[in-house]
Amino acid sequence: MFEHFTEGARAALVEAQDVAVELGATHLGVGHLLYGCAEGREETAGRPLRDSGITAASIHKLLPRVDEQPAARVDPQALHAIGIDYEGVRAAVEETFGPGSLEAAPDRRVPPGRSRKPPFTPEAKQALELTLRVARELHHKRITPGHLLLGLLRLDDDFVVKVVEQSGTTTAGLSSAILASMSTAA
Amino acid sequence: MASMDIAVGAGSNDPAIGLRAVASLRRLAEQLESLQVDRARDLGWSWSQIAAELGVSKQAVHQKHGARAGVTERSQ
Repeated sequence: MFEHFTEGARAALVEAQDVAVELGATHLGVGHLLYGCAEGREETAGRPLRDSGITAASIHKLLPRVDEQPAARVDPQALHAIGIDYEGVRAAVEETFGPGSLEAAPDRRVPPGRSRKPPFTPEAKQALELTLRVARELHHKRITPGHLLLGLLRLDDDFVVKVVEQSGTTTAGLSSAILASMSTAA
Repeated sequence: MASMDIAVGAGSNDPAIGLRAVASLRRLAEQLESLQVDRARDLGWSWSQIAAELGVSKQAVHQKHGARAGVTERSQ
């Protein structure tokens, strides 16, 4: 099903997978897919979302974290106690990888009993089906993150609607912005 | 530096802080690994070269980080 996905759309799916694992989710859900769309630095989904003030970081805050463990985060004070300057490490990393890169970097250890490739929830599967339908309707052969985002919006999912409405825009407004970016990107 | 010495003293006394530092270091190392491996792949490094620098097997590094790299490999 993913053979028509562009590099950007595949990257969005990998980001969704990474964040689902990071948050301890057993399944990859609609919210994770939305995060994946926002994480990409591309034009079809990343830009319209950014223009509406929706960022990967703002979505991340709203995603549920399943049984958070202390080991899942870095404690700068504890590191300081053994002589490690976390702020210094972060600054050095950001020199190469950009602002916020260290905090956003995935931890790819596999938690015991959990898969590194969580299966899709039924809603996420439905969003992918809608994505393909949107592309077919537009007569587009390649699936971009923009199509994925249009699929997510068409799903009328509570989480997606909440994120969009919190940013002060509407799903209809965001959809037109995506369609506009697609025509300029094409 | 004086404040650092005090902090080090506290760290060596209190197992909770010491243990939390260990967990934080592991987490930090994992995050640095993801960043560096993804960048090396973007710069065209082979899995063997990356594995050699990390001191792990090629299979281990590919299994752990391959999903991300596969995104660009498949589409090229």
